[in-house]
Amino acid sequence: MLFSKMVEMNHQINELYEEKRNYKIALVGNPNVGKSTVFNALTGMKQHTGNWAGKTVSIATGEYIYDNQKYTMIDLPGTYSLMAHSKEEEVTRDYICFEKYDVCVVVCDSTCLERNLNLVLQTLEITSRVVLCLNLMDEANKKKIEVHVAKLKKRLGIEVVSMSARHQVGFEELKKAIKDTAYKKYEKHPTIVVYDEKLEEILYDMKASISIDTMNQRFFLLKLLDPSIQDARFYEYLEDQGGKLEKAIQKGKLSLQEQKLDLHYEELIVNKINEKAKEIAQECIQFHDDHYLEKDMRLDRILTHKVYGVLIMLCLLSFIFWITISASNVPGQWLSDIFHHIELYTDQGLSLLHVSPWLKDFLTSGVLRTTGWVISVMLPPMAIFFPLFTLLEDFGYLPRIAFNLDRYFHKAKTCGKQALTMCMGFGCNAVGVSGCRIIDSPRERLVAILTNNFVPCNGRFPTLIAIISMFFTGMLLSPWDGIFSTLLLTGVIILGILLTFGVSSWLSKTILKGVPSSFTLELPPYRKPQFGKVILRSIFDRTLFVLGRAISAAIPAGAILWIMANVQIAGIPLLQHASTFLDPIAYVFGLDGVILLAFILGFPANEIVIPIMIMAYMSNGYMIEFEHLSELKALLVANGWTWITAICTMLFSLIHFPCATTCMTIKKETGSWKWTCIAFLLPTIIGLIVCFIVANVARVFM
Amino acid sequence: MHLLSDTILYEEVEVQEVKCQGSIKRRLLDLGIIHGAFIKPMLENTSKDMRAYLIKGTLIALRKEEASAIYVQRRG
Ligand SMILES: Nc1nc2c(ncn2[C@@H]2O[C@H](COP(=O)(O)OP(=O)(O)OP(=O)(O)O)[C@@H](O)[C@H]2O)c(=O)[nH]1
Ligand SMILES: [Mg+2]
Repeated sequence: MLFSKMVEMNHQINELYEEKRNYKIALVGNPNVGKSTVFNALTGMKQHTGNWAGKTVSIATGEYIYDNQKYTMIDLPGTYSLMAHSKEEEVTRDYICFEKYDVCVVVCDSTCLERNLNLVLQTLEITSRVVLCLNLMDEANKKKIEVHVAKLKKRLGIEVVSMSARHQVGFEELKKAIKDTAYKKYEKHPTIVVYDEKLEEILYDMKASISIDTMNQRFFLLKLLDPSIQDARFYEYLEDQGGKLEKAIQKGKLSLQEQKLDLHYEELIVNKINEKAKEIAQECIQFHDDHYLEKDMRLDRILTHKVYGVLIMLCLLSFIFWITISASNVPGQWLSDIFHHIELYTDQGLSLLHVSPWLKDFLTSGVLRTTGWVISVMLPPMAIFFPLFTLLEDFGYLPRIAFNLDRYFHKAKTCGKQALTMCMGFGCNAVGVSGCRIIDSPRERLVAILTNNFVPCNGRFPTLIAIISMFFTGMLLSPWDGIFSTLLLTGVIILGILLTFGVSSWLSKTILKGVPSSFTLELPPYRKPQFGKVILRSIFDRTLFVLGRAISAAIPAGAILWIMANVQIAGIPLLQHASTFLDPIAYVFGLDGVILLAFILGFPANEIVIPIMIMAYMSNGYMIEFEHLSELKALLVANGWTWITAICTMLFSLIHFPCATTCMTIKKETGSWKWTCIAFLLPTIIGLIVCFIVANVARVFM
Repeated sequence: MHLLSDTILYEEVEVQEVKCQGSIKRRLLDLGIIHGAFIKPMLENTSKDMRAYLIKGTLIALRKEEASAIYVQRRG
């Protein structure tokens, strides 16, 4: 029986070894060591990279070809060990422990190799087909840290490659090492970490009694003995032969208890691994300069200063807003000019083709004009703000923001890492919501998910900027004007952040009651951002992606609006029926029917709120061409906008239901319709209350 | 023995024992905060309830609650 099984296994292994033409390569490593950078460089994919821990939160796959051989690469979330703490680490743990792959590449930070070696040693207990990738070599060199690669190779018995992924150094060697390792025969790796004597005895007894010997048996037996792990999959993995395994485990656990080893089991294991890592590190690494951290610390002392830290943060934010506002105008004007011409030519072209007038009107005034407005109003602020923010991210500033703001999150009884997910929300709330996986405690994760929408995403940002430039600029003289707009925008964002604190705190006291749980926050070294690359990538990958989404939502919305504006019931367009119906309700909140309708129709993508408003107003009879923003303002004013309407629209844009994509992500992340509904209602209700108060107070004073 | 949370900035101390439970303990161990490791408080935030510690070449920020579960020994 056993023999036949072994023959079968041998057969399978040979099959794997000889015929396989597609190797699966798993990428693991501590957080923020450059796994995704390696992955992107090899596969040409565009995984999110940046200088803080916890960007990758789910599995990504890509492919590359080397030596006529296809390799499938799997990018995994960063983890410190193969014992999961948080949701994103669980993903990695599950993959490494239970999935089938051919080679496991462990990416390490060469500047703190000792800590990284822990993971290498743990991985070696599971598989011998490991490639150690010593990344960030350029930083190690700068810090005068010398790693003896050959020694390390010999000590660990695996391929070791030193590289610098960001600078495209070492990829040939890595590919070759992966290939060599993939072609290697499956075999048990010599045991490197030897645990406590008594524990080893127990392990030996267990092995003897279950009488099968697989490659990673040792690892699984260790896990099965762990009193803190109750995961059936570990058990299933080692196929029980007639209950032998179960008996052996029970016996093993019993002897653990007898020897009082079960109380400190984890420590027993981790300490030994740590000890081994330290020993290897001492043999293979030399530090030639002990003061290498000084420069970083000098900067950190300023940026996280007790008094000025938060102030500097606000100044930096305002500065970015200022650039965004002042630099958006000109390209916006160009774009609208271009679209103006496109519309004219299309109109003429369609006339020449004798297209029926209603179709022509539908295509030009409906579809083309909406698209044009989306692009010319939305693209410039997006294309400026996003790269700037990404530069800060690449520099390593986001964890410092979390450090500075922790005080407030602590008071709100939530996790300090919520600041990181909040920052992600500036790019896209859906990304922010899935990023919440880096928060370990389920309660705090939920709080972070529910409040993520209080920071305006890249899609809502241009709406705010457009309204500010229309209604609140040109009131003061030149330099002050820009400063006033910037302060206004900063004010709106601060309001969003304050709401995040307030609502988090309220949630922690009511429906999500609890005490703050423990977490650790990594502050990585500052890194010089790759300016050119960041700018290109954030424009081409992110901005165009968001824009594409906006246009794909704008086209059907434009079509619906055109139909609503042209289908008449009782001589009045449908659109007017809808907005007249909504008008009295909207008035209470300082808005009007069209604005409310625009927000509702803008549910698929917030970017199209302003274009919808424009189209709706134009169908009321006031036509405008693609010209300057001031004409847009004239259109709005002709439809009854005052500065109160402007303020309330901005507030409602900041505080209302999340867009459809975000809602879907919330459903996916929480797995519950209840929380999705709450995430939808909570900001909507708060937004309406805020608008109601502002509108009515303002009206009293007018 | 002292608590890590009571140490003064830039004073390097040696970890004696980590007295907390569950996943946070495991994480602290994974980060190398184990008996005999050296650790040095480097930064402090506004309310002083979070500090960043230098441990094995990396900066890790901990709240006061976590830091006060780590027992340390002054050196020299
Ligand atoms: N100087 C230098 N920086 C690098 C190198 N490789 C990656 N980086 C930078 O390190 C940071 C982290 O890289 P990522 O690829 O996002 O790291 P990751 O391991 O995928 O991180 P998580 O997904 O958060 O676990 C980025 O800012 C990269 O630009 C390198 O070889 N040298
Ligand atoms: Mg990554």
